[in-house]
Amino acid sequence: MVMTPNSPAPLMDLQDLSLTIAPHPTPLLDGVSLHVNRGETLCIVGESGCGKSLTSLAVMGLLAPKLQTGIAGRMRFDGQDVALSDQEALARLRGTRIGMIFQEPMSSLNPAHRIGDQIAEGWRRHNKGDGREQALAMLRRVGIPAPERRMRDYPHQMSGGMRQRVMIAMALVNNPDLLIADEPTTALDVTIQAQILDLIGQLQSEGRMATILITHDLGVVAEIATSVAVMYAGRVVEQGPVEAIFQDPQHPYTIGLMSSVPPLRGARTRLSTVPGIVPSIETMPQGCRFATRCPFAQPVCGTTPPLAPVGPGHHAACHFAPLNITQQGAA
Amino acid sequence: MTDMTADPVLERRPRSRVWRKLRGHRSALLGAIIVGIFALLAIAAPILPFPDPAAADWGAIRQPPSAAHWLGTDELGRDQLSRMIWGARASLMAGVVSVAIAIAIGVPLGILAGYFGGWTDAVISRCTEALLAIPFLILAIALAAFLGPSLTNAMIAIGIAATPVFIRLTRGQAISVAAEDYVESAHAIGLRTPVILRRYIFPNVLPPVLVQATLTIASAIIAEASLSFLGLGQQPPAPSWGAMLNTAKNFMTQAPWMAMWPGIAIFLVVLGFNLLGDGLRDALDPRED
Repeated sequence: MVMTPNSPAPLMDLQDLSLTIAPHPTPLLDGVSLHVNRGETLCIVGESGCGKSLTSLAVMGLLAPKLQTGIAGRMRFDGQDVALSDQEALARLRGTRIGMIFQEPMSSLNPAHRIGDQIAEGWRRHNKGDGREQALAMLRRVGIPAPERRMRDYPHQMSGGMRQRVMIAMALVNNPDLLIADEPTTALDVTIQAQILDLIGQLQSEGRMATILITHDLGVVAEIATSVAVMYAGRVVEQGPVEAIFQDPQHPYTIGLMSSVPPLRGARTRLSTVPGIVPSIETMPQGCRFATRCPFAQPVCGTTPPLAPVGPGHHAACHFAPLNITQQGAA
Repeated sequence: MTDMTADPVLERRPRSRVWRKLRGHRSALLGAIIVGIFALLAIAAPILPFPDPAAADWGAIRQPPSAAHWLGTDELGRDQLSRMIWGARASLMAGVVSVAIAIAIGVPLGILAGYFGGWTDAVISRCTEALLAIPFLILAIALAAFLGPSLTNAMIAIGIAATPVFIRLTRGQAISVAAEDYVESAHAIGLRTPVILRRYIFPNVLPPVLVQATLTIASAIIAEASLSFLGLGQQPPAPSWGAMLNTAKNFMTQAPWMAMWPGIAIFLVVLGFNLLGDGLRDALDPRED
């Protein structure tokens, strides 16, 4: 577990999550450790295929059955120790203690039922009563106008932004301690994105909820994250407070990510990119998985670097961290 | 609440798209009217002022259509119109009940096979394929012969013979619905599998099942007529179109109307259900709008 001294025990502390798929000895997720405190937002960033969504699905116990056999690792959730291979224990947390919202609001609601019913259903599953009042209150909280009438709408009668609000209402109707949002704004247009992010932030500040936000939008991260975990090829390569990650990135991959964001001011230069692509599971290098694309790679990178402290609450998995270079230097 | 009704977003409440498309579909409308007329006559048969369909009149056998007997009489002098209408009861009931049996067995099995996959699917699908290998009518005749001649047994036989089609159809639908995002989000709010099957999978596999049901009613009516023709369905003296055709074939030259009316009726009802089914298929198709 990675923790700064004097910090309170995290709400969720994921320890050494690994996921292996039978014929391949190389783990898809390798020793992923994350933690998030109440009232804080952890952003998981990384390019497509780095294991962000797999991590969240493993925490929810929603991985496909054929992947479930390959899970190892534990999670401390609000003082309770849960093995990530224990599907029943995860199912008990799911929906009550941990809520989740998905990327595609257009297809994540059941077209056959009224939205009021769908929100109430989650309440009924875990509580007594029909949940109508709770559903109505949630619709009001997520800012849907005329909620009494909207309760009776079917999903096809709503826009994408409205549906994402309904999804959020469904995920939060049981007042979960942790909300996992897997790219909740990717499918929405920019103004609606801002509204949804504001809504999540506002709902979070009302309670003591922790949020894990999975995204590849660094602008979103800068805006709402408390801490950031950067994932690459199934490993956490850097983790720390949002200021440290943005101002003093230590892992070459994080540096690459930061410098591939187009600047708003200053001279226009060619945008720097991280060369190459994420290696496939068959071609995964031994040791540091970023070595094949890293400008600083040395023979020592053939061994796996540990996630070592480089600053207060800030850890990076690189043999050369802390680096003595600036972001501009790498770009 | 007055300020709410002024909201332009809330003002524009789309009416059911399916209903609108169905109403604009001419052939579906025609089908619905045909089916509706037969259904009304069948339901109203006991209160309509027609003679008893089983009452023989030896003074008026095999009479052509006349003012007294609008559709003529049969070889025992029974009123053909009355027998036609009572026969409609048997035909429509056989169609609806046997399809209800097929749906009641086929849809749950199809959902189980499609949702769980693996061994469940293998067992259900292999049995389905074995049944599908036998032609529908042959299977229905064999089952009816096995169960013994009666209208109830004929309906059971036709229902079982029609089941594999519904298992197949539902299984395919269930596989595609199970992969939908809303099923994953149902898992994410912690719903149990039975609830997911009942509230998420079941209603979303229904539209194509509804279309198939309408079309299968048409085949089931033909099957019932065939079974009755062979003496395996409705038993005399109770009237049925198939049984009427069977008797009528002996008098084709002397009294052709005896064969004509049941033939026309079967043709019209089957046409009606097929038109209705086609219209439903178009209306429920989300691709064209």
